[in-house]
Amino acid sequence: MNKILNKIGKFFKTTAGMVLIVTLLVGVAVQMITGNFFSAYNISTLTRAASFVILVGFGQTIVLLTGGIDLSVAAIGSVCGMANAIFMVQYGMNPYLAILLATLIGIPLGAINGLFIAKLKLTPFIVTLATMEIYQGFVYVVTKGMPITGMPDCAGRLADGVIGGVLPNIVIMMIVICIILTIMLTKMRLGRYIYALGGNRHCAKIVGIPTERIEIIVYCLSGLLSAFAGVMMSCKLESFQATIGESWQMGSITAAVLGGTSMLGGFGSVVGTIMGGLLTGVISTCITLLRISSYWETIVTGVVVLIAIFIDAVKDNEAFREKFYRKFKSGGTVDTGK
Amino acid sequence: MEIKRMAQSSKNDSCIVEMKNITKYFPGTRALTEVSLRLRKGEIHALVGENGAGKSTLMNILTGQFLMDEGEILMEGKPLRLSSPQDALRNNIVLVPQELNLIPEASVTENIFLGNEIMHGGFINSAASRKKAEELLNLLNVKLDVTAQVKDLSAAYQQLISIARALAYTPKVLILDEPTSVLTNVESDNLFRAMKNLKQHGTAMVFITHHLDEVMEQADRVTIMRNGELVEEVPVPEITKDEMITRMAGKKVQQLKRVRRNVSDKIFYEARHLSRKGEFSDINFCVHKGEILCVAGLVGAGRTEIFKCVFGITQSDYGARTYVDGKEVTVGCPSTAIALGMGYVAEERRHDGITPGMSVMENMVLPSYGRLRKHGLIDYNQADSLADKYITGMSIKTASRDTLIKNLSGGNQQKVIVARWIAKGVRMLILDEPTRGIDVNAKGEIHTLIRNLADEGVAVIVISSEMDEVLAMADRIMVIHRGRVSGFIDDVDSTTQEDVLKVAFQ
Repeated sequence: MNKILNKIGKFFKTTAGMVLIVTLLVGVAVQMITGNFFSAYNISTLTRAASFVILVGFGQTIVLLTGGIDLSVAAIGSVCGMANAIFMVQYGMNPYLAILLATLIGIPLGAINGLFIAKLKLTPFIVTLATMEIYQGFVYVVTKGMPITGMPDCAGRLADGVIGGVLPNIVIMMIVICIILTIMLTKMRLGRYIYALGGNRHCAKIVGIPTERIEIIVYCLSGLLSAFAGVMMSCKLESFQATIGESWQMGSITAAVLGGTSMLGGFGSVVGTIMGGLLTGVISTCITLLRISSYWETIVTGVVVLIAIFIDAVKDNEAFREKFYRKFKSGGTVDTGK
Repeated sequence: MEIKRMAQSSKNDSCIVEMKNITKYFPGTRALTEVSLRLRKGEIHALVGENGAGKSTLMNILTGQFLMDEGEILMEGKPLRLSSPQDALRNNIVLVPQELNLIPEASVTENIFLGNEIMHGGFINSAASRKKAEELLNLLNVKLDVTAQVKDLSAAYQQLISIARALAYTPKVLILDEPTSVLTNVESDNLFRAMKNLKQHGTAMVFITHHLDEVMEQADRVTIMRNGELVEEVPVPEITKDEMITRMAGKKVQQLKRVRRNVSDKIFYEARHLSRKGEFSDINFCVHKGEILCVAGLVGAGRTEIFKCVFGITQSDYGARTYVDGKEVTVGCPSTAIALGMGYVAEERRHDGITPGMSVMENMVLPSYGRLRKHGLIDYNQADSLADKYITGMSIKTASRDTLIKNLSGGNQQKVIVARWIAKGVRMLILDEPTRGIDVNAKGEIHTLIRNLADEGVAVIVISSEMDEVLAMADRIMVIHRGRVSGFIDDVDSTTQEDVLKVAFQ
């Protein structure tokens, strides 16, 4: 019992824990002003909307853990969402089979990123920037910018359904995936190798970790998760548009970083990414509830990210702390003046 | 020269900087207790002590990196307030850090004046900078093209450029932290000549080093520290090397003692015709089970490169053959080497050895995760008990197995890395400079560890630049000179340092 309490206490000291507290505080404040934040409808809408970017964020987190970055997540989501729609509408495929196949397409798309990065030692930022353009362009070439409509209802029910009016299906899927990924990252060899790779690449090589293979796997996972989010999004809308998930690449990085994942690799968790994704989701909902112009949303999100990483830097950086300590101290007691 | 030194020591008030009764607290500990340091004009003042004795903390206070909690600093008799590194630079107190921090892509001149540019109307005055850079390097007896990129220069030149950068601040006090650790003997001598030159100009130098021979030969006075306290400040002629060691350690430490060992005649590993263009060529050697093979040679002779290749970090050129247990093998990457029973402790601990953000336990079991599994998941109970076994068995000083490894001292980090391979169960272990930057006592412990490992039948290869270490540890010595094996010494018992050097240069 004590052990569990201890763990909970520790969680609230992490970045993810602090972000959760901030999220709840924002929620309580908006509840007091508008009185309808903690309604079943609002909570289910909010979590359902946030789940998509969180799913993509999971993949992004795993990539960031190795010290890489994946800018092609939104484009992969788009390609696979399109494939899903084509399978169902043009080929009349069984919806569940279509979902499965379209999601699996994410793996080879991620593998292309991984191969370039791991085997040819190219910079992840550039490689995924290029594949992002290619994948996105491919979508426009195939659809000519036209939407694909007429997907079966059961697809919409799967992605958009809500159990008991509070718990959306997609949130359950997101939580199940989070549990699987957490077990993978903390209890499996692959997961520890991912952290070791991001923590010190040279050391990882010397202890015999197959660094290239791990790197390829990581981009495949990111591709798979992005694909799943894209497919689910097209199911939810029962149609496909080329603009699906446009904001996911930056949104997924924001969620991961707000959740305490280091851009340099080696630190972070997928649970943190949920917290980060929820906070951005809450901000956007609150702006709606408070009847503020939605044009303010990105400004507020940007400011919140800056504040969060600033607090994090002060918390973990000794040099920073020493600097503050020094300011405080030289203001008062030392009296040796020149 | 003698007269000059006497004249200096008679004028006790000629201190340029005096640190008086400095005390510094860190969260939970007291790092310095009433330490004093007096620096005179134009002297080389050695500062010695084990790792963790407080040398770096004291120098960080003198260079404004840390604030002291108690005590005072006088400069030329006047109280000095140092609240930032800039304050120290303004008062001409300059540090040459141990780690080279030059920008490889920039030119020599740009590196020398980094952050201290010679400006003319808002622009950098390149011509004046180049001229001044040449002058500064001249002071160090160095002639080189100041427009060359730093990455094309040897470590020795880079060290001298760091010093030139410090000289650009016209230091009254120059602090040199382990300046010779990357230098060969010849290069060190060149540096010492430069230091003598600066001495003539009246610069006071603090010389931090683990090499006590250098202290004996170069320094005028020495301040000895232990556990954050001042032990003694003495003129160098009045102290011997052994006395210094005793005072640093607090108790009489054992000299490195040679132990005779019996070695099996079974060969574990053999390499034939290992070559890598530009690094080494036609290397042939073997190592027996239970043997300690020491690899001697000058820095830059290619020793590290050879064994990186043996471990599969780099690949040999065509034509090489390697054998493990008599069977021919191809080692294409470290994981193959590990599968064949090899382990590797890298020279650069921070760069290649540890994963700083991971716990002691994880750093230790990283290569062993494969066998620490139950139902596909890592069995942390087993991993924890394995880590505890080695933490106790090797007396690794750490708060717990879950402490992050970056919070351990260098010696203890090194023990964790050695434990990593013992836990994995290696049959051959390559250690590259295993005791560099590690204090005398921890050094002895690591030597014992290595011997015990060899006694269990593990083939051990130790690359070392420290001759007394080589002569104490080796069953056989392989000497490398300019990328070639210049000889083997089988009878180590009757070998002296000079003998090894003779082989190295023949």
